[in-house]
Amino acid sequence: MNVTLLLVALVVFAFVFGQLLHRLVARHVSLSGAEYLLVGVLIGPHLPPRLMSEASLVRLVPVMHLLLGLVGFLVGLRLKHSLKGGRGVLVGISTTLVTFGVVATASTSLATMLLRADGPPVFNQILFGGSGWVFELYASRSHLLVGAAIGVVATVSSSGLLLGLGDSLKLKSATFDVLRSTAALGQLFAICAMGAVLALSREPPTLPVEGFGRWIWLLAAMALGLICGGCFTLFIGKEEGQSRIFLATVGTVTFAAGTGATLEVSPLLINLIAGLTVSMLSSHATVLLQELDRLQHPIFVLLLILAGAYWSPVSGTAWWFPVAYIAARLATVWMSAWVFTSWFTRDPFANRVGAGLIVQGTLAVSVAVDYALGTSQYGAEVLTAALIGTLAFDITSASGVRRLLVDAEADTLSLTGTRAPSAEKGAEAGL
Amino acid sequence: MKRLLVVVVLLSLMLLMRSFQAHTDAAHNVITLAAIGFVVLTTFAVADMGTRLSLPRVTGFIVTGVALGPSAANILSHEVVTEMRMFNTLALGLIATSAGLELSSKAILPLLKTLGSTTAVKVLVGAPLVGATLFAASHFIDMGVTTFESRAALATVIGVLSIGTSPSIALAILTETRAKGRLSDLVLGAAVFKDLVVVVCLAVGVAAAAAILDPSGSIDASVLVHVGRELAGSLIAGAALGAILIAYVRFIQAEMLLFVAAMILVVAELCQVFHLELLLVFISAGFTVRNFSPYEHQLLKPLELVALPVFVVFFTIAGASIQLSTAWAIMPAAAAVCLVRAAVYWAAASVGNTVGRESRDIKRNAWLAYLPQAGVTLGLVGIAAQRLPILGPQITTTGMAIVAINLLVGPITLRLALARAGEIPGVAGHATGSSSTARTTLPNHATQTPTTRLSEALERHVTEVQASTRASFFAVWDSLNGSASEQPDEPTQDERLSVVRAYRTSVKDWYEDWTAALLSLPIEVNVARPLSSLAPRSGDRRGLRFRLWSQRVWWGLSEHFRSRSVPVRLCARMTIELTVAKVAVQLFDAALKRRFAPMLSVASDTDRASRMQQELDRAVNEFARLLGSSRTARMRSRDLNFSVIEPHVRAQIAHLDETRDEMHAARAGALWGSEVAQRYVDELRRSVNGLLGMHLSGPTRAAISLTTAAIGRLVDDLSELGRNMQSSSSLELMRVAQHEFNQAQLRVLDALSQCIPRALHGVRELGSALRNDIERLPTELRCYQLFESVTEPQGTIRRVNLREIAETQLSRRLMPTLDQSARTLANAFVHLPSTVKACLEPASLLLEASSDDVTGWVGVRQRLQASSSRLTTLCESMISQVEEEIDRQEVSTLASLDALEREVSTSQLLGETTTHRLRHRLGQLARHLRPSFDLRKPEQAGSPDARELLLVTSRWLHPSVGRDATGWFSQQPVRDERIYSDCAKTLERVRQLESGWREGKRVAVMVSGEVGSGKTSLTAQYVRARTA
Repeated sequence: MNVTLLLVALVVFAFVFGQLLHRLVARHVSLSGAEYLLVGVLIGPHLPPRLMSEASLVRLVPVMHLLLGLVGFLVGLRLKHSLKGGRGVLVGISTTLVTFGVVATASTSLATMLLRADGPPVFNQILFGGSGWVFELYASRSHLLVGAAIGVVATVSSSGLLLGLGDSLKLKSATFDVLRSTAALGQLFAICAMGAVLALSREPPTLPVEGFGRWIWLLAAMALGLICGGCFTLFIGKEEGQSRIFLATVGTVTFAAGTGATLEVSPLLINLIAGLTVSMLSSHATVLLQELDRLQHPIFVLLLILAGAYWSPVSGTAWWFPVAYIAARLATVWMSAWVFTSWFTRDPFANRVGAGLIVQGTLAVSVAVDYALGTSQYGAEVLTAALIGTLAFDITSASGVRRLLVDAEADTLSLTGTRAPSAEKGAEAGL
Repeated sequence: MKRLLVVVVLLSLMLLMRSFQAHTDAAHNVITLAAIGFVVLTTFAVADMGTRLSLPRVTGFIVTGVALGPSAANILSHEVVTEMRMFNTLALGLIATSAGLELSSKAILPLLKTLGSTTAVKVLVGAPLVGATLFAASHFIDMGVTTFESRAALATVIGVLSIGTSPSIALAILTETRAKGRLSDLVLGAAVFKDLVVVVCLAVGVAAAAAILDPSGSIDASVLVHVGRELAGSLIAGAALGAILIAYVRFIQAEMLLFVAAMILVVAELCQVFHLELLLVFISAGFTVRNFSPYEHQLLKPLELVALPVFVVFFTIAGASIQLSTAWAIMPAAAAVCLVRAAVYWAAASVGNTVGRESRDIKRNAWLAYLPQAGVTLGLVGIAAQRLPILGPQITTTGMAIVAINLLVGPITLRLALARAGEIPGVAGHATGSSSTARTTLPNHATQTPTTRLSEALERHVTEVQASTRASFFAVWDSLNGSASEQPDEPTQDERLSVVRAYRTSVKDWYEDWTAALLSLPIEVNVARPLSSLAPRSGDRRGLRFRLWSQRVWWGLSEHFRSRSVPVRLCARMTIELTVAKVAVQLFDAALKRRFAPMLSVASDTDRASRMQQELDRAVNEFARLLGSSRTARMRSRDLNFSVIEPHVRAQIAHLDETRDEMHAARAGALWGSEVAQRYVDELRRSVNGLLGMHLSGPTRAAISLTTAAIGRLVDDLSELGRNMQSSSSLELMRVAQHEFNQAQLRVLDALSQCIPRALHGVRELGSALRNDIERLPTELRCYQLFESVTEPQGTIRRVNLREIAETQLSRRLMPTLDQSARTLANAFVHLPSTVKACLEPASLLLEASSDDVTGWVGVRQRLQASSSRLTTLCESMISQVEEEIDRQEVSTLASLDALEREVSTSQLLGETTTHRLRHRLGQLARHLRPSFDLRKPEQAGSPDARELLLVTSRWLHPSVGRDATGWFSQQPVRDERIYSDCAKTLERVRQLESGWREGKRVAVMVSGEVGSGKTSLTAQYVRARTA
């Protein structure tokens, strides 16, 4: 089938399905958008009626790169607004690092047990042993990469949901600030870390200067991001025309995503840095964000559908990855958020902050897709864990986030005598 | 500089990426995505730099495409260009839809003459000439064709392909420059219209070429049928697509951008399957949305958002697709063809603009605007090459070379044409700084601020002109009002004609007096030119700055340059005359309205007068501005050109022309008809209200008052009985109660039994009375459209069947409502007796109560009090219910009458207006054809004499007949013997009689005949012959 027609069919099918789902299921289950993953899986090459073939998916890879670029650029643009200083940042850093550490360790261990090593172990340390048995730490490079990738995905929390709810209800509570900062930091960490993982997964180029090794790709990605952001700022200058700003954005994001795809470094990372640069340097950042906000929904929908279609089912014991991922992330996020929030902020809702960070959203899927596109090794396992995890978290936990935020806001506002927003209002806002 | 830096950085990155490219064996070229981004940024940056050299952006896109493309720098490799072509369909769809959305039928219809004649010349003259040029060039330049047949076939195809003008470049330039005006409409209309023509011609041309190549073959009519089918199918499919778009915007309107993009891609595939013309389908869809729905803006908004990136990619690909090496080899031939094409376009535009009576600016510049060729022609080149495989490579090479030239040059010439025609905002026009939309808009001198404060002499002239214009305006206004304030009665056609003529004479006299008064103004006045007036301002163009600088230099060197000569009279004519003509027409119109339809006049006389006065004041202000800026560096002598204004003045005054008296009289009759219709409606309103009061609300109110009184009495009795209960004996009470209650019940029930049928009967009587009123209404009344916005008198006269409208509104809509109300009222009364009886129940209990039982008395008393209050409540609720119902009746009656009035105002408007327009156009056509027919019809075919010719010409006085020619048929005696052809026999007879007289016979000659039969001419001719 013609690739453009395929894309059209994809979008139309997704919208029809999404509308039906919202009409029929939204009363019973809270829908966050992750349902489009299911749409993708349904039309993908692994389930009948197999609307998309493997070959057509390959032809859509540039589109996926572009979508990843747009997501990265959006995240970069928003970071400046999302990252508020204060103790929320400390909570965010701590929670993110702990989550990454725990989930990555768990995933690496599981990978060591379930997946075949692709080469000699990176480390092999016997801890203790007895007669006839030993307990050793053993991991090859591929195991470490899979574990790190899953750990990276685990650090992502949906800031879109939080920001959307925050904007619609004009939230001011300290809990909301903590959640926002933590989610933003998690996103920043996830994209940068995935960039690093992808860089490390590639062979180093032959360069006249030695000493960089595989890290050269990471540096190249960051430099490209800076250059693209700088070019955008130079290109736009004091331009006020909406269409020109839009054109420059499209051009920059496409170019940055294209360079990422060409050099096999993360388009997400390049665009994140480009977006961050623009938000720091350009006076048009706010206007640009407003312009891109209008495109956000279609971009996310398309990306989720393509991610669903791109997913290929893993075999046998590899299904333990999503199970382990869900369990490890749930426990770690919940506990670490509770501990660090109580520790740093003494928020009365500290025990529920974890619930606000459980929802993952499109970015988690994007990070996983970035990995799957960037490396051919065990991409399916990472994508499976990420997709199933995101689906499970988003469908079950979105309403919990709403409740937490509304409760926290009600608590905050009761001190000032302002009328608290109701949970129904949040629900009416469609969040 | 910054953008140059961006370009350099991006270029370096692209080159770097090529060397570090991860792998190249993928299913797609991985660098394509980066290339697209690079193209978007670089091309736009280069194009932006090009704008500093006054080059259109489109040229920048194309040039960058050529430079980066595989033929030159090869930054965009052949594979990348091929992959990027997937945007072409989307881009073409978006461009075509946008073009369709720009095509308003109202704007296109007036262009048809120009477009039709221009295209006809291009097809009939241009294509053969271009073909011939190529044929000749192929003898000198190696184009891969050696035989006569192949040369002829190639020339045929290329000749046909030369007809086209690129709609995409037209739209891109119009979007970029935001140009608006007649030339812009013409260019877009021509591009779309020629797209239709070129498709048909190419089909025929290819068939002809095939026949030339293969002498055994022949051109089959089926080719035309096939093309016709394709075109018709495309138009129908486009209309259907437009309907879908309208429905989507109307009912869903979500994710418009995605929907439009998806629709374009799907429809493009369908077009391929069903062999439809992609561009036509989308243009037709856009046209449908534009002209049959109010949703064009909802559709344009998302298209505008993506227009720029789409244009950038599309034109860059077009540039990159040019194979420079191949095109270069035959460049001389291609250049010759392009030159001939340009010459032909100049001729075609001249003919077309003359036929369409376009303004001077358009006549001069339109040909430049028609030159661009781009993607569509490239596509057609491909189709032609595919259909003629023997000549495929030659057609492709030659076509590409020609398109390459037009692609590069066309956008520049188009922009130049628009700029020279003054249609680009912010760019001064070539001739007068005026808009080329001379037919509809006038030069806007308001934007030209005077360079200096007016000198005393000039100020004096402005004041004089203002004072005299005001005074004369109020004089004519008063005189017209005085004659128009007579009460209108039913005027006959003759009376209307005489009134129309009187008004026309008054306003025309005013106009002529005003123009005569202009003679009192000096032709030129010399005023000082201060040096400060020659200072440049921010935003001045380079040319102007240079002029100002040189004049400053001359100002210092020569005394002559320290003053300027202001053409006062010309300035007054240019600025005020048209307004005076317009106001004259408005005065005439207002007087007619006041005379024949004073009730319907929306605006008061004072408002009208002040509006016209304001217009005149604005014109005088404009006059002052022009005096301040004329013959300065900012407005030179040649910019003052009354010929731009003159046609409009003439058109305005033509409204008052004698030949239109009958039309104005008909309009006056229609105005009177509207007045009469309004009177009938008012009369009917009064009658219905009266009937409603007399037959329905009146009796009902009487019935309710009767009932209220009866119930009131009953309440009083009950209260009295309750009070007397303790003091009176039981026997006495029993007697009183029995007597009073029986009487009261009887009275109440009697009243109710009377009022219920009366209410129902009232409705029937009202219905019959209304029918009588309606039957008196006229069935046909010529009315004039009441809306002020409609200005074309001939399109707004309509026939109104007042009786039918009233029948519909009153008998069929109002009467059932009234009937329903009457029934509701009757129901209210029907339930009353039972309620009253229930209330009276305690009284009957009273009769049975024991006088000794004190408890029983107390209970009965309480019950009586309760009954009393229940009856009071009942009475109040009934009154409110009935009042409510009566109010509802009145509201529905008013609504029906308002609807009647509305319907009288608007009935048959649409159909009638369309019919009138059609009739008007047919009338115009008939007026053009009539003279030819009259002069050629059998009875005239022999030798028409002067009287017959006079009769014929008197029926078709047409502006195209020159003054000299009409003079031939006038009542005046013929002085010129060359045109004396009548009464030859009579003249001969006179000569014979004269000969007889000379021979001595007694002869007397008496020339007799009707007025204008040629007696004087005959005599004069005879005398002249004798003298000679």
